[in-house]
Amino acid sequence: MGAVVLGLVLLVAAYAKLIHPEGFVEQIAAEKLDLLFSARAVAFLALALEVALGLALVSGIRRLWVLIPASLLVAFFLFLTGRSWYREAHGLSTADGSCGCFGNLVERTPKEAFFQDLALLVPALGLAFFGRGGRQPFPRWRAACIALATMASLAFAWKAPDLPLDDLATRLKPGVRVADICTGQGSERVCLDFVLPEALKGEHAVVMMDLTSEKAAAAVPALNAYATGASGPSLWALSAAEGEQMHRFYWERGPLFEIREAPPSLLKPLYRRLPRSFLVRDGLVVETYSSLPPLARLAG
Amino acid sequence: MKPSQPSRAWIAAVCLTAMAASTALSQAAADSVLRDFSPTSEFVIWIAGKEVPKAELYESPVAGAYLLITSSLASPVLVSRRTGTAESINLMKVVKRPDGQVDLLADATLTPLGRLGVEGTDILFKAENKEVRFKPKPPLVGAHSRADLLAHSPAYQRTADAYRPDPSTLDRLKRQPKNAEVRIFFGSWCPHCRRYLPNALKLEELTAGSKVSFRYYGLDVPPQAWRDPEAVKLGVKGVPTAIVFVEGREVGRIQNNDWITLETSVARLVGIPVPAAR
Repeated sequence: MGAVVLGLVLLVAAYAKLIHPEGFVEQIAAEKLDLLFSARAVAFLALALEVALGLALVSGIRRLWVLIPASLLVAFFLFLTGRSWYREAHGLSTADGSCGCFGNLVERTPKEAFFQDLALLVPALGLAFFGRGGRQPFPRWRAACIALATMASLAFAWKAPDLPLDDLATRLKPGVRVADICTGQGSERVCLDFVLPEALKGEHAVVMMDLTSEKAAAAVPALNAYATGASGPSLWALSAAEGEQMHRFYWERGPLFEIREAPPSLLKPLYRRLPRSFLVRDGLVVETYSSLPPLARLAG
Repeated sequence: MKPSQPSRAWIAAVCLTAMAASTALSQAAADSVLRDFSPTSEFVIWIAGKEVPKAELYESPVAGAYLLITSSLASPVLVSRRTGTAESINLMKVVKRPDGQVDLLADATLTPLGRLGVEGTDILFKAENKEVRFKPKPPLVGAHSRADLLAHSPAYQRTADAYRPDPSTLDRLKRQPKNAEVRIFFGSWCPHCRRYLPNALKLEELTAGSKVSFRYYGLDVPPQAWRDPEAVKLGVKGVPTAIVFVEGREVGRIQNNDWITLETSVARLVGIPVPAAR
């Protein structure tokens, strides 16, 4: 039972990375785990390991050549969360607030993350070691199936960024209320309606942008033309850009629509690639778009 | 008497011309885009290395432009974010409206002065061979009154005017018997404070004479903000943060989403039974 639970945990964790591998690559780079290979190579190796071990455990393979790598993987996860906790406790972690308004805001504290991982992974791993049968032949068919499924998963992950999976891979999808898109906990909780309270009433087109990208700069003329037009939902942009980047974009690109700053931890779970946009009606997300909104249609 | 006749005729001609010009001005249409410029105090203006405190600066979000009028320059200057350029305009083509806003006339001719430069947070350009700089206003730091905040950022008044607190909650807040103090930490540099601080200014105005009082404390830009002794003492880690004290004892804090309906958040913390803000 422990092996199945651990396998499922690994597969669920892998699923989130498979549909949004770019996010995992960024995470690898941010954690400085790309010392020997590129972040992309490390991410795909880790994904392969996670999927293969998850499938092996779920399919009942509890050999040492499965359990020992699984133990190492669990130890590695705990090392990462433990390191984040240490960094946070010693003031070594960087601030997450883009405009500085939010101070040090994180979705779950590193301490919580460490203990959650510890509670979820270690007992399951311990149980997986108990009650293993005696010497059995090598599970050739199951191993072959796992190898094939792992390769298929990697191929899927490779293509995933180009597939229309944004609604599946992110927290932003039709039917979600902006007031329920939040980050942080307790008094540090920030929701999208704090950043854009106007979205609670009326119809609004919201574009999430990376202000340092050429794509954002190239989008400004079309967005300006829409913003100065008389009809259609009002236009807003959201960005996690820092104050000076925002200032530079404002003056060098000349947007005629308002750009609101949002904490990166609030925006990050809402997109795979930028720009991404959505339509809000009375606080409810009604449509999402993988790039800019259909301005001509919205201007109607 | 002869010499005075041409002089009178000259005066009459000038008067007639001025009246004609005035009539023409009042009838001339404002430009469809370069209009509705409102006074802004977002920047401090420096010309040729000297601060010009009396310079008038107006902003039109629709036009994506600022209009600078100062006696230090012979002509007003239109500074356009949209085109990234500065252009001079004939003063006669600038019309001040009774409501304090400014329009440019449709037939105004813009003379290019050059492209805008961005240097850190400063915007600069050349006009009449002088360097003109728009420097962001320094942050408002330390304890300040409502009047100080409005003087520093007049745009707060517009946002405050648009805020409509719930009348019944407001009424209960005004009638509550305890001494309550709302101590607000803000950053004049913080975009979310610009959005929500005016709500507090409005609430202070509407609860005047009651037992609810407001105090404002401005923090410097980060990371200095989080090292401010007052912020450290009260454990303030983000802005805007309102700490509510009842009879001198802290009863709670208003942060993030609780700012959206400030009157409800304050009422709840002072012990008035109101539905949750969210």
